[in-house]
Amino acid sequence: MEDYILQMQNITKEFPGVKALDGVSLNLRRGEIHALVGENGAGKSTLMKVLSGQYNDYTGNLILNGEKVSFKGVKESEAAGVAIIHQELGLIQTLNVCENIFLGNEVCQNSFINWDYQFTHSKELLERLNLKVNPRTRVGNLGIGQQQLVEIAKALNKNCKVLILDEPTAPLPEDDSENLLKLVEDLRDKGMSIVFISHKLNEVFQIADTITVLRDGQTVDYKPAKEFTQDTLVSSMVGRDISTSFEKRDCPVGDVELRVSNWSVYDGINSKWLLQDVNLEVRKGEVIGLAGMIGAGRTELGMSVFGGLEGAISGKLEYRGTERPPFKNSGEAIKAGLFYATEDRKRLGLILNSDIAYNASLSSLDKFIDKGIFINRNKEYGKVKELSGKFRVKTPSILQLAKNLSGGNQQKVCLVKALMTEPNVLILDEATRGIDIGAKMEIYQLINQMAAQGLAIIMISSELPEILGISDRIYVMREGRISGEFDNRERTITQQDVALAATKGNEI
Amino acid sequence: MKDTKKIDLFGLFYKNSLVVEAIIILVVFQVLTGGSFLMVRNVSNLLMQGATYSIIAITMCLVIITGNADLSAGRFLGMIAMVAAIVQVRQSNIPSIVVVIMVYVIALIVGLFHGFWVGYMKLPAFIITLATQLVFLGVNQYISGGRIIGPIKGIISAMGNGYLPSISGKSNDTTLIVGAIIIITYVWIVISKERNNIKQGFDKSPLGKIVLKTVVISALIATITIILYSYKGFSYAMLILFVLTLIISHISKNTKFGRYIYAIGGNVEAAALSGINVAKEILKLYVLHAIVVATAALVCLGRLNSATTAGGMGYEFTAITGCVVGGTAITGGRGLVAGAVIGTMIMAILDNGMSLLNLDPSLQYIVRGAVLAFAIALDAYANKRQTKTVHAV
Repeated sequence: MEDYILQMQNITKEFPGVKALDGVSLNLRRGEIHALVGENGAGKSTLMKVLSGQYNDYTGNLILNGEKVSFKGVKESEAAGVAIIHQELGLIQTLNVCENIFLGNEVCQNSFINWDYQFTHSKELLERLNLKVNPRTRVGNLGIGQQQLVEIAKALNKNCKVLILDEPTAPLPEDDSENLLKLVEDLRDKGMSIVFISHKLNEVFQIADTITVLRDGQTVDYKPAKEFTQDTLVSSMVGRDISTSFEKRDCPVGDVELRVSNWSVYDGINSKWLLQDVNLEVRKGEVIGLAGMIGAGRTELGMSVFGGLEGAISGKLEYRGTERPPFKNSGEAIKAGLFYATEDRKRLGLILNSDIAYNASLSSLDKFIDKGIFINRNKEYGKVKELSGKFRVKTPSILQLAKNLSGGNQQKVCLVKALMTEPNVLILDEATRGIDIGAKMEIYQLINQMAAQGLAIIMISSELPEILGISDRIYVMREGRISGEFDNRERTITQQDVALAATKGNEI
Repeated sequence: MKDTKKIDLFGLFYKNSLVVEAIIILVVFQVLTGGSFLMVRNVSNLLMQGATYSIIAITMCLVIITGNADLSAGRFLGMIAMVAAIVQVRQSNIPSIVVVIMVYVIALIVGLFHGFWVGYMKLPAFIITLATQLVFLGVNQYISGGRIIGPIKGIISAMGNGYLPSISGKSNDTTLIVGAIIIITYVWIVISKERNNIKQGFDKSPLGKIVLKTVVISALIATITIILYSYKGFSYAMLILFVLTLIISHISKNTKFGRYIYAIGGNVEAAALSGINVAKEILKLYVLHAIVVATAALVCLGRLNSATTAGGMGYEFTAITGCVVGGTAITGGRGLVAGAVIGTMIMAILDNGMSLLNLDPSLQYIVRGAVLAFAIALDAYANKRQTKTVHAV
């Protein structure tokens, strides 16, 4: 018999009206990395919530170390050695590293916290993870990759035997991801059993020993990673054959829609330059990629052009052939036909407590007012339905609250919202982050379609393959400046070219 | 959300909490007062009293939905009533319509002032209105010298104290007509809402449930109409409340302004990035709010027939409590105008019943505080349950 540390058998979990999990099984061997893959809404997160005790009204068996268990909450599952690290980081930004690691598990002596023990112990943990920071550093001052490691340290501190990583690399730039993956392999070699959830298939193939594929709440595939190829895995996830290569686009490139020259932004509060002397243009029917490391100023560039950034802006803005002052606020920009779809959909993109239709039409209500001041709901809902159908937003109704959607579907709603404004220039900031491969391909197709309709698209992304695959020209940013510009019409630019510009900054 | 076979008692109660609370309070007072509570005269009286508070709640609810507050509403009402009273009493040659216009001009200025500081200068509304309420009280005392000013005449008096005139001159026939119009309007709203639902391709609500709800509410309106008919009929104050509720409720649901209010309360950063000029919308809202509160002030002044320095004291508390009882989330983003109005009416009923019972004032405070705490606890509990059953689709 195989040595399974964890078996989930025949798990079924229903929500009112929806069967989120339908007889799902997952068998985790001791000391392996087990990848759990599937499209958005396939039930991965729900399954992990069952495992960690956040849901306990399911049917089926949970067998941990040969014993049948059921957890009533995260506390219980952690006590049993199952730790979960969520997509969204759960650290408290204002506390320091040590306090975060021991949060909820403080070690006390005579009812006072034993700081000596906590500090030495957290130092040990950080050393194990090769993280060279002082445990007294405030977590808010750490980079997002380092924060991810602190999360892992926190899990290790609970003496977990099963570690669940829910898209750990999604917010990380390339080299941080690389480190994290190495670390995960390292933990496995030391005997940890790991469930690894990711949309990045190359990572899955890089580290996973076994893969379980979920689709529509059911287990559709379970075998060693070696027996999958990229294409068989994708078709297993999506349930149909799709091509994972980028389609060639041959729409004509027209006039310059947007051009910024000597664009600089100064942040007066922290007294530093966010952007310096940026020159960039995008033409009708053209897709340009904006690459660079996190913190290189890509988001700031998008936001400052959109009028969404508070800071002193200098430089020239040419919009549709005429020079004009920078947009004062996003309202002005949207009216002029510019839209910026944010990377931070939960904080800046959506009103989570409102429904899909409400969110989707929020920036384009003017289009649904026939006469007077009242909104024509028939028209509004009609348009929302049309677009959310086109984007395949998985939901029983467009009146579903945004917070009840999975991450990928939330992202799609943000894109629907952007398209509803019928923009001329569209800035997409990490539009495919956290989105499954099927939806990604759909989004790439949509981008191609939009470009063919004459939109000018600026695509900000940390995923080099998509930048290389879809953009006509590529700008690379580093420390608030453009550090490289490439002509990619023939799709000849390689990852090395871009990576070099992003790190070393060879001047143009 | 269908086929839940287990009856969710709490959910059922929470959904209908306003009705349940109203019934409990009505029955308790009816029993305790030995039947005098629901006497025709007291019902009319109660609605007149409740109208002032409820009018404030109409826009107070929207202010709370944006995540702000207005603690100055009561004292502002008191001050503006005093200004109107003084002008009317001392300059009796000025027609009362001019006084009304003057009141609205002051409201406009105050609304702009609040809106400017809260919206454009981003000061916490809590602090700025706490400051202005003191100013309003001071102005009130200064111009009145602490005296009671009255009596009131003209439109203002009618707004607070007048009843619909009779066409035949014998009975309150207009009341019956208005009552009928209200019921017809209500049924029409229900039908057109359902029709839109079908047109927009949503699930039909179960027919039996709609019919039952419509019949119950229509019967309730009819009962109130008949009770009032047998006394003096509908008063102007009740009509002002009704019409304002209808208009502002409609605005809150079907205009850009209304949408933006909920968006700002739900997630102000996302709203700003969606092209909403947050400061401008907040300014507009505070102006609207000041104008609605000024209307409440006129109604209140007309009913009391005089203004005092204590005028309006604690009104904002009743309105805010009413909003919360009526389902407005104190954290913003959620709530309905109609719910706030009904919630405030319930608070007014509570006040009226306790006074009728001659309850010790100290006890009255305790009861009112307890009701507010209970309402917030209920809301928080329901929210917590909701997040537990949230599902990823």
